[in-house]
Amino acid sequence: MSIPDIDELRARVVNHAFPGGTFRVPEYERWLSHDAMHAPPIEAPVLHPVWILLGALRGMGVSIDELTALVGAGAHDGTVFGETVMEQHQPLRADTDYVVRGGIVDLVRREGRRAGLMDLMTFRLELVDPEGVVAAVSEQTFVFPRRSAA
Amino acid sequence: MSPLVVGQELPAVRLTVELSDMKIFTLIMADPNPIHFDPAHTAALGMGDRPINQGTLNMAYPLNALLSVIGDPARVRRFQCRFVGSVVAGDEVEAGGRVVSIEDGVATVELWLDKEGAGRVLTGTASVDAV
Repeated sequence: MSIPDIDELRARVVNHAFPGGTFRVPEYERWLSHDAMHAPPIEAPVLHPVWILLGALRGMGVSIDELTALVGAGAHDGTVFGETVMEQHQPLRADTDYVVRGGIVDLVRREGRRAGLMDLMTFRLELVDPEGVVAAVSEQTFVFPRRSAA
Repeated sequence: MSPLVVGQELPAVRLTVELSDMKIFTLIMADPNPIHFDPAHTAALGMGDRPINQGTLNMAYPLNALLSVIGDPARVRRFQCRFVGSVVAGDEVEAGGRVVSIEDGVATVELWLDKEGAGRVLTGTASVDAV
């Protein structure tokens, strides 16, 4: 797969709004996720803060696979997390519907000594509760290694 | 629910990263990237034969160290972290943290995740209600 020109890529994806959507975490999934995280006891229906990112990813209306394709990378290139910022105005809760809205706010290309060429995409998403209040904000950077540059 | 004080060290959280947890998170995240569940795939990429832990799980461990002290997750106002190394199935990791300042009732807590034999793989900061 050839590497897209960074200027063309930025023009195409920065300020790109995601379709958005909703998410709802059923109680059994709250339980399973907290178990897999080795979380300390958290009283139901409150969700672990990591669900700010998980919920944002789930409700943004585009899959990680599609996001990867959007920047001309492939799932097999080894996309990884770069930086995460989460703001919590109120804890998320299981069995509650949240609206997710937002999109891509930045894309830059870097070259690491060991990792080689990579693109860093940052997107910001608001998680809105049933009363219309922003309960949390997720700002996430994904790293897309450009392995075909090697 | 414990108040935080400047200089306080969070009790370390130690665990072995299990592939079974990563598989659950692959489903929770609907993440098709095989580096998180298929040893043959990571080997083919030259990344070793142990799948790479999800970033969301790596960030959960230091948050767990914090939550084990503060109790109520509602006290967490903001969390930021950078992933500076990878963790793979079978790794031994230790999460910890330290309260570095308190201003206007909000504590700034440094958080980290260390991997045995490799050092720091995640650095972060949380803003937390001190009381």
